[in-house]
Amino acid sequence: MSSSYKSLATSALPVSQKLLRVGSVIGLIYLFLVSIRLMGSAVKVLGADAAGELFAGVANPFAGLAVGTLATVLVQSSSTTTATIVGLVGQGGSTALPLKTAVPMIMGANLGTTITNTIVSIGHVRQGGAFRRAFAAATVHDFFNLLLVAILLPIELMTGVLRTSAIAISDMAQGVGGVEYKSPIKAAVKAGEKPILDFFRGLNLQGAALSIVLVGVALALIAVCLIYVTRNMRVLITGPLERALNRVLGKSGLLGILVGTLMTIAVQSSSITTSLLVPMCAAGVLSLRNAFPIMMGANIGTTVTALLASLAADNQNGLTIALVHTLFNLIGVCIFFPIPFVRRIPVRLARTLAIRAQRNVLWVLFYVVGVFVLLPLAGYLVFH
Amino acid sequence: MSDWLQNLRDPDGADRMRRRFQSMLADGRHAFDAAMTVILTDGDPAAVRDEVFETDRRINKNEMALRRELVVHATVHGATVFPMSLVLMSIGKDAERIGDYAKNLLDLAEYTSGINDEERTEITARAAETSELLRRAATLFDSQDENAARAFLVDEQKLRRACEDKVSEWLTDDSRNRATACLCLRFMKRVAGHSGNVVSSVCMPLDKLDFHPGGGGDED
Repeated sequence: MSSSYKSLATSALPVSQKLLRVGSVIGLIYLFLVSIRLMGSAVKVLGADAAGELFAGVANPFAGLAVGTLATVLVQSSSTTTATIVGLVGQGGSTALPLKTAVPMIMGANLGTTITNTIVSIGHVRQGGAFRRAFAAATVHDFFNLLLVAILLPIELMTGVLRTSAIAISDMAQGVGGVEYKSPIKAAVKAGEKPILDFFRGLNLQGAALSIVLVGVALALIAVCLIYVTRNMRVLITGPLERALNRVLGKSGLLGILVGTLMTIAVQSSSITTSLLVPMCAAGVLSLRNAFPIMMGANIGTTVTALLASLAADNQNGLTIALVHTLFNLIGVCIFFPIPFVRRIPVRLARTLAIRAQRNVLWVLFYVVGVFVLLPLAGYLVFH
Repeated sequence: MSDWLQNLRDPDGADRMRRRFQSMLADGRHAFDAAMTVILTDGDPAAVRDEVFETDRRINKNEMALRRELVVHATVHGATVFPMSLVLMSIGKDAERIGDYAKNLLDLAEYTSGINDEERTEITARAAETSELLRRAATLFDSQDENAARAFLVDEQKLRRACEDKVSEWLTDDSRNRATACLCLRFMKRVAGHSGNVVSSVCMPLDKLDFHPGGGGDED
């Protein structure tokens, strides 16, 4: 007869496994950067005219917002979307996605990523109070992002403040000391891309066909790399992750933002962070008030992926659009965190929706389909 | 900041919860011993009341913290730790009940003037055995020694039977009112039973938690 507790208690990961996973993460991040570069090269193959035609469809900011949202909903990862956008913007030359067009797409990616924890919360649908708490925890992130877009998109369209600020910061970053710096990472990424390009060119693929294949390969590689980076990192940091969550359970505020940011940087996925909070809120051990700052932190942390992707970009615009993503979320925290009254707005909206959803599950259906599918789809069809 | 440094040095979640549980067991034994000392020495219950109640509150707080940590642990690690979490959830309740029985015993101390020498001798012997079981339970949970755990469960069952037999004997005696003495043994039997439930987690599979290897169990 086996011991119950002893056989069930978890043991720490052996050092050899840890090293293997760390090595895998480094390799995967390299492959991720190669695929970002490959994405840019794929569009370059199309030529300036075709690329211009392709991006004209998302030139309208609302269409761009819709595409960013839909793409993220489809791939269930804002990191994949934002990294792809960075790759398209940062490739340089006449085939690049214009910075102005990319900004609303980045905002859309921020919106689309919140669907993951909403889906997680639906798992509690038969559990009454637990579902109400879980759904509120999931949708507070949605409302925060929706309100943020509602505030910042019009301001950005009128003033271009995000773009100009990001350009100023990336100018500073690039122009440090006025010395042209040859990045060894960029050189290594370029070297990694070459065999892939040669392989597909060797298949006698040309023009649009080559471009489509390369886009497909690049997208698949970006998604796979991010998935496995996230999986490995989650295993590697379970101890600190658990300690951080235990530490932040009864606390609110800046500590929550810090924990959310660091957790998300570590696992490279805001969805992982926010989805971890949902069951804890459902069980009632984490209050919505205390979960909200962690979610704001997750929004900041997730922008690191785009910054990482900008390492593979050919020109400064890659870094600039990644900085737009960071600034967007930092400003969001600055708007919603400091003033308690403002901080309570998304919390109250989420609570109200959750109460209705608990009474009638159709609210969940209307909300998820409406916000994450119909609204962006309508936005794209009307404005593209 | 020192909190954060401490946090970085903290053991992993399972170890942290094991330590918390150990502290619940230690507190339970402390509260039990304090209450029994008052009963057996005809002491003033008020002298240890605050101590026993404060210890029980600490046990309760630890149980709540343990539950929160279990939710976090299960959320972070996923399905693989659910069985372990269920075990800790179950035996955490047992540890918490020991504190409650210590309070109940302290309440009985108000009426111990009615206990005669024969009853006092019996209660003294059983109290010492129960306290020793609580000590062994904590040690066994730490060592996870399956053979020793089985031996413990045999001793624990013997103690419970002895208490039950004595209670049955005293209840059929119409010569005097033995309610206080009977309740005292009854509460001790329950404390022993809860310690047995804790130790069953060392040698029994999850579905047989709280039951004995021979098929017997905590029948209350």
